[in-house]
Amino acid sequence: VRWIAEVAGFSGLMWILVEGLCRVLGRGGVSDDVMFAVQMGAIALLPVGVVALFGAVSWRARIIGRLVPMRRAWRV
Amino acid sequence: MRDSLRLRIGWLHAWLGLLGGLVLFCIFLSGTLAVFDDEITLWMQPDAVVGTAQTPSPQAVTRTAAALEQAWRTRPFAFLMMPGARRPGLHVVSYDGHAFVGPTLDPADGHVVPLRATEGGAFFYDLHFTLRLGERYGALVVAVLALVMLVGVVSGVVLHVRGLVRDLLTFRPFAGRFRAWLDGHVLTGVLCLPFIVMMAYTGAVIEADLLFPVPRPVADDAAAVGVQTDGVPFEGVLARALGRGADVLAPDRIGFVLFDATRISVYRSDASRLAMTRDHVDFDRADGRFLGFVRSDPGGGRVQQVVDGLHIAQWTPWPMRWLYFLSGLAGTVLIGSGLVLFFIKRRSRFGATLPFRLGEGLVLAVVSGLPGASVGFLWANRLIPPSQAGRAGAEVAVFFGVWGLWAVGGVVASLAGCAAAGWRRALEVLGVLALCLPLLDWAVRPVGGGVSPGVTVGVWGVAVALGAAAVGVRWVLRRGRKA
Repeated sequence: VRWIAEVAGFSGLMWILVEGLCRVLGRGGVSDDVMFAVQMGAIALLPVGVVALFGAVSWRARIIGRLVPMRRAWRV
Repeated sequence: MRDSLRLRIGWLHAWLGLLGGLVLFCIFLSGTLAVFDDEITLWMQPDAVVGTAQTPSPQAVTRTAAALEQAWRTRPFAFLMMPGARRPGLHVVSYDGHAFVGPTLDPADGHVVPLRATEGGAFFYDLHFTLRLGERYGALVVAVLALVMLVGVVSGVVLHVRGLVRDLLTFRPFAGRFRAWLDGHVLTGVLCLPFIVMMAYTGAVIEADLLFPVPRPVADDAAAVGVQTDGVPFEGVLARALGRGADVLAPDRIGFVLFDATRISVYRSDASRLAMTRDHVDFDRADGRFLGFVRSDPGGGRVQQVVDGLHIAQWTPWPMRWLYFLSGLAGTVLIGSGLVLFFIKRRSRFGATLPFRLGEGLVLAVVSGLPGASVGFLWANRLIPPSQAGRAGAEVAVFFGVWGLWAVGGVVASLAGCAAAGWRRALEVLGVLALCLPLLDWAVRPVGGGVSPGVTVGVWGVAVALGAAAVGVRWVLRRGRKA
């Protein structure tokens, strides 16, 4: 269940960011060429970003797992 | 359980692949068949010969003008598709929500060629593009699934990145069932990785405005189409526009002609170059006067045109078209084998549970049922009388009827605990349907019909290859059971 929530969360987060960017730029009078470039970049980055964020959590767990004992040792 | 990168990515790949793969299999297979959409349409309209001339005669232009004026009475957005190398004839067509339909005229003298009503290859194009759900919501679903496909590809590469070269050289079809399917899955994935990434990415980019809408000022649409200027013969105006358009674009480079209340626009054929440029020559609707040659935007618009061209592949010569087809088949095998693998891997732990059996039945219905329904669609084309009213819709109904029956059979077999037997029966039916298609065509095709030998050989060859593959997999399954 946690992993489903993570995937949904990361996907939703990236989607909101890209959609918001498109809307802000579109209302700001940015040219169609730039908007298309933004859309192309978003479509390339969104899947990579979801996989990277989802995968990165395991690295975070590993890094925290290493840092916490070090911090405890430093306090002692 | 250790929360490792490989475990997490494997989970993402498997579950996203299962949920998206059932529909993506449909999108990939129909897209693969749509590579030859015009050829399938030609095969499905064997009733008469259509002249192959690329330039219509004056008499044909006159009759085409009359056909257009008649069409505008009931279909105000009807337009003209010019003869092409892959699809001969002049076509006065309009969009009915699924396909461009309308009469075909012979470019030699303009007579209406008596062809049976069918959606033809456009059916597979529509299934691929919108899942038959309409341009707005269907295309959005397909675009989102293209993103899901990209997530699946990226996660699959992360999983297999260490052994990409080794996987390219490894295929053991007679090993254990899991190993054989995994080899097939990885081999097709690695072999066609660039193609699959390109198609998924360009497919999503084509619908970028649906995925990430950009607020733009609303364009002022042209007035109603089909308004005829009084007192000026339309056939003369059309002939002048086509003649001058051919001078500017080259006679065999005209794709289609659009009409609005004030202009006639002669567009460059999509088959003429990689970029789908939409270059067009405009003429005054009242007197055929040349208004100008509108070239496409050389900036970012050109990038979009190249993306469209890469995905839709109208520009491709025959070897490249077959390469698209074979790569699409490999992508379809990749998705299908992934779906099968999901259930083989979990059978020992969850094989007796209801969700597992239901899911396995759905996979059976999609992976073997969709090719079966596609062959059934071609069978229906030959068995439904050419003059029957509403026969185009009847063919589509047969497609979904066969698929529905297949799904019911697959799910019932799986719920009853006989999924393996269900697979064997499904493959037997698919093999018989596909292998007998050439026989049926030979038996019932009208004498003196207009299907070229190349198209016939192509359709028969693909049907026989599909039937042989079904029989081959059936044989391997039987061998596995004995072992």
